[in-house]
Amino acid sequence: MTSQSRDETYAKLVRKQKIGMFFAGALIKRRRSLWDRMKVALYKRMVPARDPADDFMRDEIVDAETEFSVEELRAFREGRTR
Amino acid sequence: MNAYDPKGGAETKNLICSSCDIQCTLHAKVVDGQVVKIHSSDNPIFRDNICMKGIYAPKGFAHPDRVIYPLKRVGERGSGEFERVTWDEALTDIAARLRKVIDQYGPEAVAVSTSDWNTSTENGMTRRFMNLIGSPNYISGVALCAGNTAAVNRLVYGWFPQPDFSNTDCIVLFGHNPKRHSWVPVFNAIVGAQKRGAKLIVLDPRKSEMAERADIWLPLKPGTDAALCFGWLNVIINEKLYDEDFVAKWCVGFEELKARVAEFPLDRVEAITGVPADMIIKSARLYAEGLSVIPWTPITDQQRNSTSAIRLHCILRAICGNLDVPGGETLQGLNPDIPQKSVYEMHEALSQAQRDKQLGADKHPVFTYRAMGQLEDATERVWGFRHINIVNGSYMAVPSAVFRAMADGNPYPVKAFLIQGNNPLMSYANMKLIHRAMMNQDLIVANEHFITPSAQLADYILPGDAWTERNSLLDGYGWSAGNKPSQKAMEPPGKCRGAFEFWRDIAHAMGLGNHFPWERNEDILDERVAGVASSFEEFAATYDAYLTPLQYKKYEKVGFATRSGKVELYSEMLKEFGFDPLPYWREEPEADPAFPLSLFMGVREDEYFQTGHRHIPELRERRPEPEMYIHPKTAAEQGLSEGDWVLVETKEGGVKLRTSFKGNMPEGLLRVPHGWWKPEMARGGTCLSGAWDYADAQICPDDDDYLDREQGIPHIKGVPCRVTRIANPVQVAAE
Repeated sequence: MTSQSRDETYAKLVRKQKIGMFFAGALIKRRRSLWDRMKVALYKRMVPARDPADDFMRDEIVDAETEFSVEELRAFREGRTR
Repeated sequence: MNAYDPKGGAETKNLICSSCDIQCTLHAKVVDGQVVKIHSSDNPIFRDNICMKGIYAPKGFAHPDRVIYPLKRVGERGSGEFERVTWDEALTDIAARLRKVIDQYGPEAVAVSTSDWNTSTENGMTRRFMNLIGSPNYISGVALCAGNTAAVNRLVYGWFPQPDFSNTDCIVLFGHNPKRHSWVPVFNAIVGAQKRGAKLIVLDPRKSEMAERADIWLPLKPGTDAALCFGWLNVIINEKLYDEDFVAKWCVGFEELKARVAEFPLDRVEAITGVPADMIIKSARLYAEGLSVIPWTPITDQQRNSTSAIRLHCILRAICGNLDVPGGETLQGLNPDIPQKSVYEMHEALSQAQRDKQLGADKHPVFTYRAMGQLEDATERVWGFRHINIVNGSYMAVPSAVFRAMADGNPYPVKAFLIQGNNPLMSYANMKLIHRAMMNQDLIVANEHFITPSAQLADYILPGDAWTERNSLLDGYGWSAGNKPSQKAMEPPGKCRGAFEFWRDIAHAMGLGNHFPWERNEDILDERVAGVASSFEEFAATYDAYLTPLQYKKYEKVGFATRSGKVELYSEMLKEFGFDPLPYWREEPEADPAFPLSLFMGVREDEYFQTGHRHIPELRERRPEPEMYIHPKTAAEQGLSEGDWVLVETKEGGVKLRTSFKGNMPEGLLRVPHGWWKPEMARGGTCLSGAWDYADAQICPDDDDYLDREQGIPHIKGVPCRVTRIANPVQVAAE
């Protein structure tokens, strides 16, 4: 990379980073203002969730939404089930 | 995937997973005070960052064998026999015995081994306690996994950089293989970058999952990372692909480096690495032509030439203009608003006389006080603090030296060993030495979830809480400027306590209470977030993560946090220590015909993290036995069939494994997984829950031929070995 193209790339990416921080400032919050929520909605449109079909290592354990019941965990803790 | 719609009166808590060290942001569903489900965050930044170890954590923490009350040894050391005691009884006796050891042998006779990944309420209290009593002998598994890399990076440019996956043109994985269930956020970031058009170069002896996705796969011989880097530098320097302005202004030792690189013509590199010269040229050009990143890798960490190889990674980053720029690797520093835990470690309290006693620093100084101490002025000038403990990897003693002192009393005795969230018997090289060392202690205290093989050798096992059971603040191990809160989702069972309470209580029992003024873990968390929230509770309710905008090219204002203020391609400090000031290549020891095959160790299977998780039924069903991976042709030459039990031996010893054919393994190379024991097997004695049968630490050498010179960490990527078929191992069940 030449010095000039390096400088141009740097300037472009710094600008991109500022845009990224514009969204990140809202995304990192759990308590979001109306303005934050608008930014998050815009971000979700720009960066949609990955289609599971695109996950080349998709795994049934992740897809299964595994949930335990309180009783199931209690029985396991007490050694009544495995 | 894993989108979550809370219903049925359940409560949702936001947590950071500590089932491994990657710190994924997750949600917990809580019903009647019990976490019943772990699922990925709904935050678009963190979604999809989840793996099976997190998903099955509620069951793992509910295991009937979990230690939930303090236990005291009642039989001979190592018998595995314990009785229940109270915390007060345990702490009173521990404090008295620690005082006795200190009075008799000095404070340096107390050593600590921890891991940091499952002790997230520690808040710097471990080192604080050690520094206040006057012991420099702290060791951690990070000595051979990221922490050592952090220290070597600091020698070159004063920080450990983070890759900018979002903007980079090219990602280089030195043997690293992030997957759906290991290093998940890194895996997702790489997949996302590739979708955006970033190129991927994978250097790996086997055709790993990431190698299958790579634009260029370089199947180098194990342990030859440093030589390959010399080949790249040869191309990059000869073709003037480096950033000449940056080198001229900000690097010291380029001419010396150039001369060293000239010693590595591509035919020599090809002979060492096994990678054809044309592929070295092609990949070097791809790395140098745009913005590129070399993310941290657990492979380069663990080699005979580790220090040189890590320095060469650093040099590639620097001279190719990838340092502290977007799309390259950023030197983030500490978050300016939230004190990192190093701030609480009180390294200033440890006298120079005690620092000088740090074990291993004489021969292998890189991550000890001896080297890191020399960066204090520069660190303060650039980053605002004298002591920064990135990934816990600075100011450590050398593990092998500590175990020798514990075993033999040389150069002085170490007689008390405190273990926190760590299974040291199986986490470092030379398990026989470590066992002898632990059997020679006056006091061993293990702060644990389970009666691990190491805990079986302890005097006390004190029950630790789990990451679903505590409030904590995760600061990326001081490696990134982001801070993430983790909310307590349920009460810990029985009498389990957190890492903070463990140190607070021991410190109070030792009369150091005035230095531990916080009553609760939440008090110190409130203090840490006071600049941005009224309390930790409010902080955790407000943020998934707390970030501040990254600043680039900070060196233009303050220089680099090295002694010269520049990137040190040539290290005067290493020269003063008696080492080669430039990276170099150290040939393998002469081949031993008794061990004709090569062995790759140190990486666990996806189902487990280090020595943990073998007790979780669903994960164990997926991976019931330790498996040796071998190419079918090599197996045929050795007379082995799929599923055969074998003994894999190095000159250190042997371990038992089941044969598994893998067509992606290179011929002649065996892979043994890290960290195997079987919680269901008999405790203590000659079994130690299967550790003596299966733990790879038994076959990891730690003699001088197999230690990196500057760091003293073991070479476990390409160790001479042999394999023999055996009968199925006898499994003695626990009572």
